[in-house]
Amino acid sequence: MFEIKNVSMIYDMDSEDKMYALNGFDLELPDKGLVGMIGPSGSGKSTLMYVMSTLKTPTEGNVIYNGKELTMLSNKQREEMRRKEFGFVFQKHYLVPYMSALDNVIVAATSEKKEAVENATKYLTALGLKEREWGKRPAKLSGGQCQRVAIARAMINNPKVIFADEPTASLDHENAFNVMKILKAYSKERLVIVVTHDRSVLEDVDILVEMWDGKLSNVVMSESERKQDE
Amino acid sequence: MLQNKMKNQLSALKFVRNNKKQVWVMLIALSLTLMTMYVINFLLMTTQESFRTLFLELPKHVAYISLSLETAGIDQDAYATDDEFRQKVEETRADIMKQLKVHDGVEEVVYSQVLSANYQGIVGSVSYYFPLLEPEQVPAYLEHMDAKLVDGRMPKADGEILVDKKVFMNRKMQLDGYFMENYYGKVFKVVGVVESDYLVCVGTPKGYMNTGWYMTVYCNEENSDMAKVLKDTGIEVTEYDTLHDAVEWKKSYKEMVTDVLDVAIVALLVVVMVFLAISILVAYISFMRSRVNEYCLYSSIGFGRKEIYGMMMREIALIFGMSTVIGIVVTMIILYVFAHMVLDNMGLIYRYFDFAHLLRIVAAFMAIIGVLQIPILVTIHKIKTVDRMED
Repeated sequence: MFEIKNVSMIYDMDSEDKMYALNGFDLELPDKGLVGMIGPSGSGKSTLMYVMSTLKTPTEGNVIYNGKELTMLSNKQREEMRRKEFGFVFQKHYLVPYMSALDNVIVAATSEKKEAVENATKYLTALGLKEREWGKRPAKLSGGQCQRVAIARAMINNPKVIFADEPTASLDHENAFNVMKILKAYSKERLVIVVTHDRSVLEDVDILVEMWDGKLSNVVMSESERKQDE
Repeated sequence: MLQNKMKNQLSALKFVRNNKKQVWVMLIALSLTLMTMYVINFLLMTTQESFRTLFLELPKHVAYISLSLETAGIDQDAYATDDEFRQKVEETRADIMKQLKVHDGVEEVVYSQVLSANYQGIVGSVSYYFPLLEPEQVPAYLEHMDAKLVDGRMPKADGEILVDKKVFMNRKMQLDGYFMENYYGKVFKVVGVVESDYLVCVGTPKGYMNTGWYMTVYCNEENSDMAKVLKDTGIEVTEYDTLHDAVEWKKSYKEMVTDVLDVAIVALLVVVMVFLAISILVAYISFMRSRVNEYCLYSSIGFGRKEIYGMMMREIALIFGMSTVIGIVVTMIILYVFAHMVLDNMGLIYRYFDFAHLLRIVAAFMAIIGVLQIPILVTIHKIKTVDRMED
């Protein structure tokens, strides 16, 4: 699904001491599965996720998604792709404070309202949010509940790829485990990319991408993934 | 790849529905502004509307002419005695009146004293003439003016006045009280009240207390230009002649009423609008600042700037639209109560609905929406995606 070829991302292009967030990065990812990207702060994992999801444009190199070169797309095509093919779970949940949990999920929907409500309630239920919580605003929900609403929002259009940036950062162990369980379940049919610096949440990943200083330091595949790869 | 039809509108209703406090602040501010602008205009227009009857309608039915000796073709020095001169004047006047009477649209011409009535608007007042006739001439005058006696009696003796109901209320007169005692002293008595479309007053003379002697012409609308009527009878008026007719009153109305009030209305509208624009601008900038994360989220999950701008504009349109409706409803209720409690007792003529002014207010609102484009466009161009916010 993704082919990342020699991608570099340089900050402070004009300065003499160029800062490489990504430095000649190569990677290929399949159509489905749970991919974990791990590395210390500043290793470039979030930048890579944003480059893959069209939010950032690499300084050099190509990102090919389903045969399409992402850097060649217009802004409008990128926006359409983000809306229809990608789902996002950000480190902070970025829920709209004045909307209910249900509306926060529906806001990203591309389908008509009736269908969007059906899908939203389905995902919220699957993510363990009780009906009485659907009408609550983010301020009335716990951190774990907010993150689950954000995951439901990411799933509402049944996207081909979910990008999750530190989705468990603000959660306790139990909630973190539950969130990863949900993402793992989704990854059976789709691709889920989880960026984190917490190795403990990546126990179940199919592919583990380890990064260091903007470069790929190691790729570890699960046994099943290795068999498929062979 | 992305050919399927996609819902691409961000709902404006959600913000309006879920931010009642903020939205109500805007709604109240805008509705109050609309109300202020409309009520000020209504009060000024009530003056204009009330005076319009006197300046534009009444003179279409009665006019007053006083010609100079030159125009009448009389040379005072050519007469040996005052009596001879007076006789010539009377003969000439009678001759002119006879010619006027046969003119199209002239129902009657009488030579009479006239008196001034005073009518007070919300802003300013106006004095206008009415004839002092013989008692037996009064019914014909009332009939010509389509006025009906509704209270009191017809004048029978000298110095008795019939007053229009609105003027009666406006000047707080009383039946059997003295007519404009402050001006004329205890000379003319109000003996009856008439109802008419033209604020008609008429009375009988008392001695020589008057505001002039005139040929009083009972005319119709098509023949209310006395210079033209006189010209038709072979008399060219000059600057030394006095004509109180539709043409002169229309000119005065423009100079004394509409020009002045129109400037006042526009000036007030501009002042209110400038203050409103500044307050709305400040309030709206603060609204937008509190929603930066929301806009960034939309941008990150694939909504373009155009869609976000569309949502902002729909929100504004909704708030301004609701304010306009609320403002109009509240304003009409307030005006209805005010008109019945105050204006009716003042005998003033008013019109609730002023479409032209409403259009001006809507235009003012549109101008404010135009001003709001500045912070909106600045915000739109500053929207970041989440990745840039987290950098």
